[in-house]
Amino acid sequence: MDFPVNCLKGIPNSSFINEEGFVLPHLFYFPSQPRDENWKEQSINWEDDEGCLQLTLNQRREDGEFQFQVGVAVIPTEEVNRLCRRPSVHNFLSYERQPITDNPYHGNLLLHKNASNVLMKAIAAGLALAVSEPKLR
Amino acid sequence: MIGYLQETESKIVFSVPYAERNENETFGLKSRLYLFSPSENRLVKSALQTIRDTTNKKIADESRNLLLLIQKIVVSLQHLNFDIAYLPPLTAVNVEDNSVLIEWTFRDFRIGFTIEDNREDSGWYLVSNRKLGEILASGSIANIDLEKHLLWLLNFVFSHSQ
Repeated sequence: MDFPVNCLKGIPNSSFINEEGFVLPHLFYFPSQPRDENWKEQSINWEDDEGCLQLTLNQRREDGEFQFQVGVAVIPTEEVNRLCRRPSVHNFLSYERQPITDNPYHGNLLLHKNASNVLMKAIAAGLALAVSEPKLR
Repeated sequence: MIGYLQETESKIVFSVPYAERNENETFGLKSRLYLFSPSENRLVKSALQTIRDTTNKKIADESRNLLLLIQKIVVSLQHLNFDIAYLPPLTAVNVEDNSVLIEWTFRDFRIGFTIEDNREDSGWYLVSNRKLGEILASGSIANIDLEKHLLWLLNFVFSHSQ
């Protein structure tokens, strides 16, 4: 399956960036509960075209406010691939497309359920470091 | 008790254990009181303020102790003429999963600590980008000599952050 050059991760509020504007790792923390017998997931959008950024920025919560009030983090797919290939991460990190109603760009970063909490947070830091640029509102 | 020595050629700092010496036979051992200047406080001040909002006292205490230990070692290194003026401040975050994230964020690498209610789940990490060899190292902070480990991480900071 083909994947575009970048994926996007929405930044819900300012607690996810530090004073220097760097994205912080907890934006990429995985939930404690796996979705199935193998993987935990967190949502991303694949930047197949320019519409992806607009759709991500325009996503709204149930109360009508923008879901991602700060903006989006742009993560190069090649950097995710390089992270997946590191010896301590190999077989623990993956990704997928998962189009959903009203969002054809939707996908997931996947963490194997056997990854320790310590490793999960190191991987999250690796993903935060891989952010090429946050696109702020 | 740990002291620090800098190797002249490599500039790497080593920790050196030394015995307490009773400097005053009449009044006993001198207390070691660490007073930090405003420039030294700059590195951890914001993070310490964040920890004030941490609701779990055990996590708050452990986070505060870690920040003060980092500050103490950095100041010790400053006394060995390391320049700390360019170092960015540490960031602390109270995360929704009830942990505390403490991170030293640089453009090419990050050093971080996650403090959890269950100490076995508390950890450290060092991640770097391609420019610095794509390191991804991590581990638990339970059952390690944290001061020696911090010194190892700080050597990385001083070697790669200028």
